[in-house]
Amino acid sequence: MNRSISINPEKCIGCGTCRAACSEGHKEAGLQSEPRLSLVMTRDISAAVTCHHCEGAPCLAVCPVGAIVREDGAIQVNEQTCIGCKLCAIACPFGAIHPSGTSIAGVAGIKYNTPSYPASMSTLLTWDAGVYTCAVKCDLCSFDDKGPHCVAACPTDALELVDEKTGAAQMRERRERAAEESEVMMRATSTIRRP
Amino acid sequence: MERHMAVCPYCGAGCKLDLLVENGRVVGAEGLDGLTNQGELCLKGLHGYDFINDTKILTPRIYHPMIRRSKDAPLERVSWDEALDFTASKLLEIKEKYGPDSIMLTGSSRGPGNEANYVMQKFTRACIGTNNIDNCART
Amino acid sequence: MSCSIPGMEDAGCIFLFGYNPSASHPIVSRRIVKAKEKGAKIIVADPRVIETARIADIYMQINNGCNIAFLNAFCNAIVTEGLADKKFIEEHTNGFDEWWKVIKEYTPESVRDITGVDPETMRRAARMYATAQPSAIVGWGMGVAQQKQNVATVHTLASMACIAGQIGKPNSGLAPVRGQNNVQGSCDMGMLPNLYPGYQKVEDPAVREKFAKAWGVPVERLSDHVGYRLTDVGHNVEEGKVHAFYNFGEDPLQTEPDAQDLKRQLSKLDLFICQDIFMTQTTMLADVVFPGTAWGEHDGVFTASDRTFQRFTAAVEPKGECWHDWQVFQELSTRMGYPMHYENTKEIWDEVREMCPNFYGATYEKMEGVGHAQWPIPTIEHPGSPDMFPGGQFTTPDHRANLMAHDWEHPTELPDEEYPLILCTVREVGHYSCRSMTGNCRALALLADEPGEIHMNPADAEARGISDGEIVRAHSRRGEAMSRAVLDPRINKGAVYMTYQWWIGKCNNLTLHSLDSRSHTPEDKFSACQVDAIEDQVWAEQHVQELYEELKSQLADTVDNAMAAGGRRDEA
Repeated sequence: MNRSISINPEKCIGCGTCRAACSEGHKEAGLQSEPRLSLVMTRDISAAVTCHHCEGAPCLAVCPVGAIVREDGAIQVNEQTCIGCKLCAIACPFGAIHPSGTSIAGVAGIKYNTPSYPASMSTLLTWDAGVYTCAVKCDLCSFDDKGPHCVAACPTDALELVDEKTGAAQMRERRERAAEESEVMMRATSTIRRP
Repeated sequence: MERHMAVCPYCGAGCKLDLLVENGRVVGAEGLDGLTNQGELCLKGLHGYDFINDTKILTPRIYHPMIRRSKDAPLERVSWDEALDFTASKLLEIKEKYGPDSIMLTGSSRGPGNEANYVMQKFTRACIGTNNIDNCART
Repeated sequence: MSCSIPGMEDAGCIFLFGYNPSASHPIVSRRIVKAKEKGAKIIVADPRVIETARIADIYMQINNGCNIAFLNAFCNAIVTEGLADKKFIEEHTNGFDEWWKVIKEYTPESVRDITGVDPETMRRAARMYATAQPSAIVGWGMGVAQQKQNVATVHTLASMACIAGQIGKPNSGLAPVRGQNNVQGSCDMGMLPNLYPGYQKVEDPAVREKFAKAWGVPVERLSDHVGYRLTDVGHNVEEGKVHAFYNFGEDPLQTEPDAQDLKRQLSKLDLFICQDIFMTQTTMLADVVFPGTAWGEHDGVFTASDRTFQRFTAAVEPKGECWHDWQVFQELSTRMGYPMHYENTKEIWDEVREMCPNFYGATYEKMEGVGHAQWPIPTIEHPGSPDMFPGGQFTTPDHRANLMAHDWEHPTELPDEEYPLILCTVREVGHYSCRSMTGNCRALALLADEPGEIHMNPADAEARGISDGEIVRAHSRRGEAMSRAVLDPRINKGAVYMTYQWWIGKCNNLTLHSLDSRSHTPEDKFSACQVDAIEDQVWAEQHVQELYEELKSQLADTVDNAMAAGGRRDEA
């Protein structure tokens, strides 16, 4: 089973600490500093959304240059091989992969970018002069033995790394809860007198 | 790597953290087991340290005293001695001419801390002789 | 705060009123999530569906500007439902009958049009709050403070806690959480025109006598009347009352309402002194600029919102010719004829402790490492006070709370045909105050940058032909700003929300300089505005970048030119 990051929306407070930790961690590792998690805030839900590391990853299937591979229980993009064709972004059913070139605005000494497309039009089309755009997605911080930075940074422990072991434990717990609930249901139904 | 204990300079929660220093530069922040934060930090606490290093992303740090010799002159770098004498004589002149209540001061509720503010209000009250001192709590 | 931040976790009910902790204090928000996990009931009243509204047991989407009407009706419901704590009212409060005379007129039904809240929901919330065990906390923020009638609203909140008996016991009462990290500290240190350090009144001759003696000045030197407030500085300059302004570490041209007008007023000063670590829009106007040390370059004590003193230490050496702020003040004071000579912050702090009975026990030793001291802490042996007013003993002369009620007044500038939207200013989670600190942090600058965001209800956006992510023009009777529209279903119809950290998206070009008569706090949460779509989005994107670049260059060039001018003089 591939590993992935799970999110508990009950605990998420939408503060974006995960995004900052993601950005900083990747930047330090020489990768795109674009955050690999998005924060989705609808009227009723707040949750960080990121790559599921699908077993049958469609992004991997469509990549024409083999830049996306399965490695150590995760789906990884080689940012150096990626040609920025955006096919993976279109194929991903979760919107968890997108093309991005880290903006040079905000880097000391370089003052501003030169937008030629409105940002509102399409994230697939925005670009900065002199910045190479490639696919970015969650890599579970594979460059760091300590694991995903977002999980460690989340102040409410809303994020969790799910691997085979924790996944199995979680499922067992849920099955037990389901069994208990159905037992309650059984008891309740058994007291109903049928006419 | 050195570690230096601090309290986050952003919101009023009071999170304790360690600033990580390498070769005289702050390179990271880590939550400490403080009363309020219990080891956790938010994004500002974790990533809000590098302004100290003068990144010049938004604005430059100021490293030297500056004065404007007349209202239409540009700012000019001067020594501390000159800046302080210039200011002291101007303040005394205004106090003499219009009274101590013509001078207004405002403290800083951000990074400086309680001691700096205490000394500023003491300067306001004991030296200038006015209660015209306030802080951003109103805004 | 009458309770502590950690203690919020153990309350039976948390009622958030005009406070969005997820954006302003994530680490406080974390306690609210924990409280919920421990079984606390959560009530939220806010015009926006804020983050906490999602996990609330009862969420009431109130109308902007209804605060007093809502709270009066909420109190009315507590009393009429028979949930008032008669024993507490009898033993610990004054003036219930007078208070009730006002409150009885405000039934949840009678103010429904003002509050927008279904009366039954309000009654249910009132029951939940008043009957919460073991305690309930009401938390508020700028949604109360930056409104007309703000002091009156705080009176009503405090009275509400009293009549429900939800104050004067552990983890109960009032939780106004402070915005900037040391606002509580500034107030503790007497950065107030009416109070000396430790909340001692300037008008009290005995207090002046005490300070005059300790500071070695004749008592006549100490002013016997209340000074001017910060928010009046512009008008006072205009009227010729104030000739010199010493601004320490603030950027009022970014953070104060009606920035354009304030800039004009400050330009009229005879002497404008700024002490800061960054070149800012305000520093650009200064006649004197003193470079202070940054956080991370000096030692000291901060006070958190819950009255907790904690020490922080320097991590690196001061840069350039920067001096510690207290060194600047003492040197200037010495040159003006009142010598001060402190060696370090501990010496200053020990003087503070001597002068303020409630802080005396907060020694540097106690605050070593992750140690802390929560005032009131009157003796060295005292453990500190997470909770205020134990046993319902208040700090009034008769130790009883004075119940206060006020009639609701509508906000100053109501929306009309020309400016049909309500503008409310809010906080960006990843940025702080005028952004001079966080805007210079690479991770934070990358996550959110100019021109900021204007959040609006999708229906309001659609009616104006605005799509998500487009740059728009927001304008009011005072001025205008460009910002990026976010179509947000959490926003109530008829209102827009701008974060106040941005230069190009500067909401304070639009806000109204209307001050509450008691606190002189501006009404930043309510003014009328209009938002227009911009046809040519590519032009708009480029224009924003150009304006941004121009402002950044101006700040950088001012420093460079000053250095060059200083250099030329040295050579000559």
